[in-house]
Amino acid sequence: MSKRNPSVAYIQKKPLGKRLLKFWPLYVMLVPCIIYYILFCYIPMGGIVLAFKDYSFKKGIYGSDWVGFRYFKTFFTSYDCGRLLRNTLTVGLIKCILEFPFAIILALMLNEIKSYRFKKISQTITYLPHFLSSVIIITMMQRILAPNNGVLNQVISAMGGDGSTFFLMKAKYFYQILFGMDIWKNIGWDSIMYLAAIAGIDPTLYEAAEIDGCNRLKRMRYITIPGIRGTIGLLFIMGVGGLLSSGFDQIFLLRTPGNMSVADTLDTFVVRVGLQNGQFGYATSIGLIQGIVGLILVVSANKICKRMTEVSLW
Amino acid sequence: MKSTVFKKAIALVAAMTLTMGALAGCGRGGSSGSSASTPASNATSQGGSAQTSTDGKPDTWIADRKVTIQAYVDDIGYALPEDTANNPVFQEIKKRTGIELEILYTPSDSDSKTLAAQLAAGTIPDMIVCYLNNSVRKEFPILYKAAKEGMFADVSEFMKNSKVYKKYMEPGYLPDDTYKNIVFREDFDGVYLMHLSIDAQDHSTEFDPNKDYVGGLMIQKKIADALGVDVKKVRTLDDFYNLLVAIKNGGFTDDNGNPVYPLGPKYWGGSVDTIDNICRPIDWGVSDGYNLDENGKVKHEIETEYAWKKVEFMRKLLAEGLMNPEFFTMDSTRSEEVSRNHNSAIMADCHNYVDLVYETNDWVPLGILNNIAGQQSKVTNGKSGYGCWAISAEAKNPEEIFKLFDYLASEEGQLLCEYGVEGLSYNMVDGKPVLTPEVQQHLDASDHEWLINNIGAGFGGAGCVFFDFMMTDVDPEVRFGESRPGSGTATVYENAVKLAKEYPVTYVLVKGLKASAFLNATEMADVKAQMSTLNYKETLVQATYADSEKEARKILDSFKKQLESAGLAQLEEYVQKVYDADHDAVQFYK
Amino acid sequence: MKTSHIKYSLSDRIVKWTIYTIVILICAAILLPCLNVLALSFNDGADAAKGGVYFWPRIFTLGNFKEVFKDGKIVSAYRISVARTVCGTLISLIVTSFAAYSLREKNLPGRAVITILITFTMLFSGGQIPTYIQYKNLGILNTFWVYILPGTVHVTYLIMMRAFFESLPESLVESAQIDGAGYFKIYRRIIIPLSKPVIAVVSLYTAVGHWNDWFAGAFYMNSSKLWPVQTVLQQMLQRAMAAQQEYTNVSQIVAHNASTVTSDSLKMAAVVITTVPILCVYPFIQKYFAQGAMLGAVKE
Repeated sequence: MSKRNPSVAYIQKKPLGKRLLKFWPLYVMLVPCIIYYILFCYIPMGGIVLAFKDYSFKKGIYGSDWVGFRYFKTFFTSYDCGRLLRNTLTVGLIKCILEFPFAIILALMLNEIKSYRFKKISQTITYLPHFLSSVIIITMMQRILAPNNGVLNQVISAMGGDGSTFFLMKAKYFYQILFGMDIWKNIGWDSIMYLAAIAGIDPTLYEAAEIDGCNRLKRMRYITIPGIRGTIGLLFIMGVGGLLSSGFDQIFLLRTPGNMSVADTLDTFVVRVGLQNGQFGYATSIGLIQGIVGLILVVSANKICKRMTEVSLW
Repeated sequence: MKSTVFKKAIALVAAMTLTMGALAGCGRGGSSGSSASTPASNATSQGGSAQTSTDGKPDTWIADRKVTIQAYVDDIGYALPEDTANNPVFQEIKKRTGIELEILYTPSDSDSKTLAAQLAAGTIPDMIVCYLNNSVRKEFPILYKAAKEGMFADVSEFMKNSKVYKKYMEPGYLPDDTYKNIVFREDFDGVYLMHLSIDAQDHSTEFDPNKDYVGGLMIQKKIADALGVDVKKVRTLDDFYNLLVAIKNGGFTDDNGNPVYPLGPKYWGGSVDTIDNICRPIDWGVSDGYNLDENGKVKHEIETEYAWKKVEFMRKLLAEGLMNPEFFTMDSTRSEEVSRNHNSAIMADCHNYVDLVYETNDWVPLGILNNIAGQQSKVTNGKSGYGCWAISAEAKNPEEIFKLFDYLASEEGQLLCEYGVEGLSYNMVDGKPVLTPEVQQHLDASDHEWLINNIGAGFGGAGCVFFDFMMTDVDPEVRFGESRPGSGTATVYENAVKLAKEYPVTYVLVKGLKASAFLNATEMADVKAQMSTLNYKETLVQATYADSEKEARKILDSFKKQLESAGLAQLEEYVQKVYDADHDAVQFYK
Repeated sequence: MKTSHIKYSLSDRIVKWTIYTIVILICAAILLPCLNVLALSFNDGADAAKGGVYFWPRIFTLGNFKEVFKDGKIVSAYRISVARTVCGTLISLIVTSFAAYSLREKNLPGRAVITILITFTMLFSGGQIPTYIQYKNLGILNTFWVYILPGTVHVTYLIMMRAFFESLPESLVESAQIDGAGYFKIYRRIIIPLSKPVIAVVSLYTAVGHWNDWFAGAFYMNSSKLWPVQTVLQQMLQRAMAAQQEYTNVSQIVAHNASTVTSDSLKMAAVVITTVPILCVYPFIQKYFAQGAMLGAVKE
């Protein structure tokens, strides 16, 4: 992998026509993918015009009347727009930035485990929670976090503390709970991608390093991490794109009257005002805002990554 | 060498494209079960109706065709026969009317969301059925929009010649809200939405232990007996508070030996709605938060001292350990758990048709506390329905579809829908239907699968719910001598009925819609968009759990400001106007 | 694979034991709640509803599982789930790897534009209604293909695969080209055999995505005969929560009672039944992540 050396091949640029001709089999192989994106993404994407229209069932998407920026105006002038954006941003930062390194760390740790059986079992266990329905997870959360008889409070009172804190009702604990629950649920699952990347590293590098007397930490630092740098960069770039639209499910389940001041995000907002109220345009316009912010973030993250690690999406 | 590889690549890609094409093709072929079938069956139906005049057809014959119905009602969706073609009731309908019924259901995560999506995408079949208690339910704005934009067929002409639906036009037959806001709306140029399950007679203020349930607060019988409390006498907020204190001091324990909470959550899981049950005597905003102040002005409860009174009361319950701290938030699994192991001395809400209540005899209804006017009665708005149907504007020969449901709502049709086929599932004794022992046995054993697949009739909700749901002009006691099929002889809900007889509910009639319903008016569109994100009850709970009294007051103040900035004054003014014009239009009382 | 003749230093041992401890702790934190699900599923329903069942069933029974299977629905739903997972994953793998292989070529004219346009789809979508309309127009609504086609290419997997292909030694490709191999031959003979880890991980992610998806069944499919297991499970779990509806009369309550699964144990049994099959896939895929699986065979 480290032998990648793009400068050797095809340095000289040939005329476009010739290159098109030369690569035609590649274009043929690209065709199914392009058809897919046109049919399943780009055609429905035309529906974005609904953000500027008053949707009429009869007239359809393109025939409906224009309303200009009305929905955007309603949204940005509404009382809790500021709060919504702030909450969404906080949740997004937690999920896309703060949680990001944990899966990498787990993958690095699992990689250091030499007992094949232990490694296999622990990997399988860490990826279990990905399969649990959120309905079940919330019951578990409540059992752990309940005031008085919850597991956590019992531990606190056994250690001499006050065991009556109602964690789910207090806004100040909301982000911590969200963070913990998310890590618990996703760490194993997300680490698989990194494990696969680590598997792609040339083992001779480790052998050489070992002979040179490098210890574990050094090998991790100088071989493993640089080896998966590309994967980390790419996943990061794609992750930040979803900064404003992350995690409806868990938030919705953790929401209580006590923490709703911090738990209301754009996604939960859309659910309340969108489809069921027949405000199709309003919901679309909020999706558009999320997309535009995502685009800006992806482009900037891509630039930064390109400069720092030579990794780039395009 | 090179070219052969290229050929292989091309061949593979071509094969892929072909497969894709074939897949899509297959797909279209496969969909014949649903939407694609409609035009085809319509074609045959026209051929069929040409031959109707030939002999051998019963006089109930309508047309030889298929009618496809999309239901947006979960109870219908989960109670459909696996094989409608061989189901006795479906066969009987086909035999009598020539119409083959097909009922579709898309579970999704919420019925109203599916309704919105399918209407918006224009994928509805011949007819749709959905929940609609009144014009305030969340489905209504979507149905209204669809009707207004011509998605549904106008049935006003068919109504005039109908047997049952004709009654809808008689003054006073339909509830006001149904008449004015759903069926005969002034801003519609026809009749598009048909409200369902309207009672033939107005029984709304009478309590029938067979037909009505007893809900609200439920207390453990053991505890009530030990304290010597007459549950019927616990009516005011003070009574209620004193009872909770007495329970607390009584030292009762649950099945695991832990002390009970005097007040526990709803059986179905904590919810902010239960504020209504525990604070009813100080619930000033009876019209979904609104009421008239002493000067006759429309006000929201947050503008009065009652908002704070509620918060103060709930804070007191919490502080004194009288209420389970998770009262408002406990999830359904755990809530059921604390109810079943008797950890709650009082459940905030439950009813007599929950197995926990009718199977154990451990619980008795405390019912509802007095309302702000000092009345103990449950408020009813008069008769009402709970379903709605509409025929698609695209459906061929909508009159035939209309006729079918008109027939099913007639006495003969109702008998078929509720009791099934004579000889198979019931016999006529003295002019009244009596279920066969076999059916009665399955009914008592709650063997719904059997009832659905082997008979297919509604059986008062225990069988194929669709047929029960599509009823209207309902009057089972008069026509069939019992409130539900088999209810006269059923044993399964025997205890539930007994409990209802012991603890009857009284009703008080208050006409009109809740004030918040007027947000649906076109003038209020912007106010509605702003207000749809504000939740008063959640705010009350938030204030209840605030760390200090000061903070709690701050939360209420901030909510008041939000409501004002969302356009509270506009809504109040609008409701005031409506109320002044017609006192029966808005549900206010003191 | 590792030889232990090199002495581990003290620091290595500290690192090793720290890692073991942390991994064991993480596993415990994850395993305990999952054990609870298992215990409940094997416990008698009425007894479990009283609470207090933690990691071991109090009254052991297989009744919950029998009950779930008694309803023929789950078995046929299994068939659908397996079919969609296998078909969906295969089609996804073919289309995604083709595209990733083409985009691997740095000099391909239009490469950047195509990549950007593909990334775009990750950020913008027309929303549910236009998607629904498009499915209708394509004729895949209420057919099996609504499970397969819409998820064919996932942007993240495409990019990851492309990145992996790019990381393969260019010299291998060049020498093949000099030998006269065409693009497709290189794809088949060199790229794919060397990319087992990424193919394994993408198949796993895609397969699990297919298996876990309940929404397509619930939203785009109105024939219950074609529901996958997750849709059936989701219904079971959600029905109990839906009991909040306001009733006007007893018929409605009876109708609701009739179709609601009340026992928590039954729900947990259904969860176990729907989860176990896909869990079994992992160990088979895991071996492709073993370090050096890729280059061990092909030395430059």
